[in-house]
Amino acid sequence: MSTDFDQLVYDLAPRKFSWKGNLWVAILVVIILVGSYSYVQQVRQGLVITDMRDYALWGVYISNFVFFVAISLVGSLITAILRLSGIKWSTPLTRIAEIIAVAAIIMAGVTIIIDMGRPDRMLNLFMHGRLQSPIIWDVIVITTYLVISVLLLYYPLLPDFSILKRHAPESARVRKWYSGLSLNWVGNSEQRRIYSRSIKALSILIIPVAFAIHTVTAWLFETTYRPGWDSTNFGPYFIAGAFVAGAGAVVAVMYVLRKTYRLENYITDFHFNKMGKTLVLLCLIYLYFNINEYLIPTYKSTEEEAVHLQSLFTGQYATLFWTAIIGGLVLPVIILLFPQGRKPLPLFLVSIAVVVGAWWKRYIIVVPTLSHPFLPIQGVPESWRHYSPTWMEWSITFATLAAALLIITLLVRFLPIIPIHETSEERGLVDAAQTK
Amino acid sequence: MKDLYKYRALLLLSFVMLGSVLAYAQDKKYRARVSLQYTKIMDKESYIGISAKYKGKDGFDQASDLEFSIYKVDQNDSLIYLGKVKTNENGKAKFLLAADELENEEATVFNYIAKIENNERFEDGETSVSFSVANLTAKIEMIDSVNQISAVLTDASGIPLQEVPLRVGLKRLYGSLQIGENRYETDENGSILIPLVDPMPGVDGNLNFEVVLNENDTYGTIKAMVNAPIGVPVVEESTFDERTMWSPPTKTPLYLLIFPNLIILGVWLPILILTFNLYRISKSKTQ
Repeated sequence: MSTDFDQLVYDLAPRKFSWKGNLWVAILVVIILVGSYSYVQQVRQGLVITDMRDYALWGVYISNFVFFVAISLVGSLITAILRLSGIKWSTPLTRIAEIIAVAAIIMAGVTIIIDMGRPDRMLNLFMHGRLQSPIIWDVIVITTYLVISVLLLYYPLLPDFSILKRHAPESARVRKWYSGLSLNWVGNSEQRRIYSRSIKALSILIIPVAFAIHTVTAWLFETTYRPGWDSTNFGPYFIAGAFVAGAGAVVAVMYVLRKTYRLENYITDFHFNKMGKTLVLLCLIYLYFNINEYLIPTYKSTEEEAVHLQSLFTGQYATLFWTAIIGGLVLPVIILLFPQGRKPLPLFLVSIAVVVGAWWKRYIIVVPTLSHPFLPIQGVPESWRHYSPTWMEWSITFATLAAALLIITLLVRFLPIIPIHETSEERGLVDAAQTK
Repeated sequence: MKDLYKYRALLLLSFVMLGSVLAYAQDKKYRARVSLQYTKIMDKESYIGISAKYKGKDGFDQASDLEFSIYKVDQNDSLIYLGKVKTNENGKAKFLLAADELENEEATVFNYIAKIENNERFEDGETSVSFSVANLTAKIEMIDSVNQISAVLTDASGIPLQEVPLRVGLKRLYGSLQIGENRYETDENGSILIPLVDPMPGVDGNLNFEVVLNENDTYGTIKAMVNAPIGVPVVEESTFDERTMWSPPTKTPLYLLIFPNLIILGVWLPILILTFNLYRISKSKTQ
């Protein structure tokens, strides 16, 4: 019996929540229940309970949807790109990234349904959808990405489930689940061959699909002729922003999990340092796209664009805009350029700023543009020209965010946060793992 | 006793005042502002157009559902009752004159009166209109290889009417499109001649022109219509049966059916294989 291997399994196997974990789940459930109440009101009364009217057709729901889509990209970044690049240091982060990706893409789909005035007609999207419409492309690509993300989460879990069914400190019932989910994994050569090929194929497959999901989401805006969206730059701009948001989310979650499960030996300062550097690079790329996105329209200053940009730079949305740009991009870059800034706690705080900034950035992309259409609507009440989410919209939005966190929490409860099998392989404990 | 009489008198006075107010409220009627216009459409109909409005609480409103009695004033100034007509929701009504109404008459000036009589909402009143009969003829002719619209305006006895302004227009769905100048004055022959230089589109090439003497003090409004197949035929460019970006799912452009579906197939086929691989893994336990 290998003591090191036992220690590894002990350290990395899922554990029951402490009272703090249960409290966390309870808080999330309460937020979801409040949001559910609001959603029931929305289904009963219609979207009139929101502040969305003829001007702001898309409000906080769609900004939240774009945020979830952005966060989900992290699965392809950490898992696929780094894996295919042969980068080994990312191993402890892959499962976290995959879990975040699955939770985010599920909630992205749910958020789109929430935004529907008549969710009972959702099937019409599939039955009467037109391939000419970017909405249908989005529906197809989100579904595809969800399936690939689930597969990419599940495949690397097979050996871990096999280990857990024997070693997890869980009840017999949970172990039975692990046994079933391990799909008779024994690690023989045939299984390993299929396993390796499949993961490699998934890693390749998820990259174009992940790029497609963000590009298509950007096209939803681009194909609508509006100030601020009339750009050919939106696809790469969205992808760059998604990488920033996703990387920020991974850093935030890995810090919390490391702290909670005392994983300092597995998620080390080295990983934070690497993720910090990655985040700097991604922020700089996104800043570059932001400069492109705002500088040239400002230079041209066509009448409608000028009104829109004025509302962002000095007008109604200036505080949000500059907070998101400076607090969510510029300051993080400056802080993370210094090694001290890439230590776990500072990096965690920076990542929170990045994620919050990323959320507001989506709000800024969606809402101000809708307030300044090329062709203003005549004779509408003045209140329709301004959008401010109602408390019910906020409660539903917070519920979706809480639901995403709850999915992550529950997956963390039953899945090993760090891949046990891969880690044991990297640490030369693979033989022990095979024999046990 | 004296006080009792006093109180009775006061009570009686109060009832009388209240009754007066109620009676006044019930009897208050609006005064209608009415205008009459004689219109003649050559070879078709002649009518007296009525337009009525009144000053309500919030300004002028159209007097809808208001009934008028129409009388003709004969040469002895006696009234001949012709019939009744009611205004529509826009406060307008049209009283058609019989085809022989203005013929075989020795008179040169015709007088008609529209009366409001015993109406519940409006005060009684009357408005009159006087006019002389004139005739307007129009035709299209080719002069110097150019289509021209010519029109002649004469009085009832056929004498040309000089220096009378006429307007030429092309009838369209929602009104008349002006042709040439705003107005053309008739010459000593009572005629005008307008060249139709610009090509004009029309359904099957048909164009409906109208020459109008508009709201003339003496002759009212007279319109002459002329139809000619001299327009550029309108070709309907419907894409209803074509595969376009805006057509329903059954008429999606072929390239949008082929390439996205190839991409979907190219992605979902590996997904299905990868899903099947899970089954293969579970069955490879003993190998």
